[in-house]
Amino acid sequence: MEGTPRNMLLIMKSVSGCNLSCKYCYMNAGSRPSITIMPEEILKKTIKEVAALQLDRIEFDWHGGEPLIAKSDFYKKAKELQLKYISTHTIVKNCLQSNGTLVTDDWISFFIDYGFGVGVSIDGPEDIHNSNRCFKSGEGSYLSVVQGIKALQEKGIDVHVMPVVTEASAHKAKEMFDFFVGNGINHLAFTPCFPKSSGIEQLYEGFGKFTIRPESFGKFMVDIYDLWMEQNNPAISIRYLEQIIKMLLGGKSSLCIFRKGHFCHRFLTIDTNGDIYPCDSYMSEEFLLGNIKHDTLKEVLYSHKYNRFKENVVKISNDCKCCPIFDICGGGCSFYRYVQSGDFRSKSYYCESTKMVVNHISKKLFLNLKEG
Amino acid sequence: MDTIDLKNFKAVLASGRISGSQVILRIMREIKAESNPVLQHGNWEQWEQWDRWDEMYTPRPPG
Repeated sequence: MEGTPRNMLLIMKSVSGCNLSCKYCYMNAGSRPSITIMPEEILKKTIKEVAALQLDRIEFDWHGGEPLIAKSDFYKKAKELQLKYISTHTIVKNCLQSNGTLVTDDWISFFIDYGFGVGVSIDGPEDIHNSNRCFKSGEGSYLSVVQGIKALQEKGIDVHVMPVVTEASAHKAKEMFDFFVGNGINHLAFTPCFPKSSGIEQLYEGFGKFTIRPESFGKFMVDIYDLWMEQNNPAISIRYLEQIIKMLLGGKSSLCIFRKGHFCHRFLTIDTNGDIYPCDSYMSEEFLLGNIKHDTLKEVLYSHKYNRFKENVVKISNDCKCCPIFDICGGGCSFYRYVQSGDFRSKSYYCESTKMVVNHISKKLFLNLKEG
Repeated sequence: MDTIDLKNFKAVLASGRISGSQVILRIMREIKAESNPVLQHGNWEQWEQWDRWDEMYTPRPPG
């Protein structure tokens, strides 16, 4: 279909609640009075709609809340519907982002048999992790998560982790790096803690008190880069840093945040009740695009509202375009630009941290040249 | 932003004295392996001796 992307990533909010009550959770998933599993009619309609787009590649990212609260039968049904409706010409990938506390041998067999990739949320060593990621009782979830990760690793599953970095953990880069590498976790996507429901004025209040400041995140990633290079282990992959190195060496980034807003339209989010949004950073009334129960994805992708969104996310200020690192950062994540003032032409909230990291890596690589 | 002069860079990497050289070589191999790569910067011809570089890349187990 002309005008639609050939590759898409669908964020499927298969479960609305969570068995944890993480202190920085901007979705407040652990405090919801009831937990809802995505109804089968929404699952089926979504997959039929994806099939109608005739894409080259589609990735379903199963999120929550905690997606393992749904039984494996839910995901088996999803796979069955994908096989039934989506053309064999379309590459279909499934990934699931879990808090790791509900992993069992049955789940592991399911992941292997059905080809699901697994990402686990763990923030680092016990004290760092448990300071925020707790069960509803207040007890830390560290031991359960590590048990889940070990069980996955024992069955040969290469676990990808997404540690959230807060202002409190920002100065503990070495502890965190040593912890992950020491536990055989090689795929790391460090994420700045940024409670998305906060307005910029309330950024350091309420949930926002966990927000990591740009200079702290920049310093943290610089420290991680130095530790990684010092260890010189090619098996380790640190997503954000690796993409910057790749671009400095002349390659292209596959990470949306570095693509000048041109990858935003590859993402859609389907909420548990069928509501459709762009990427899940934009799950608010302002960006609501429709509901899968009564709208088709084609209608959504061609809607005035979605086209306005596509036009807006690529609007980048001239100040950014003139910046020496613009070819690398591309202005950064559109949401971090938008959240500054409600205008996509603002500079990214994390502009300064990106500058710190890009300049550090660049300097290190050029220094190597001079030394060579 | 200035980008890397690959012609000199490969010589530096080959010296084995650089912090992170194995990581960087792995990333370079992945750039090369991407189908139909389009470079934003640099000149693909500078990669002509890639095969020899690839021999330098020796993955080692973590830890």
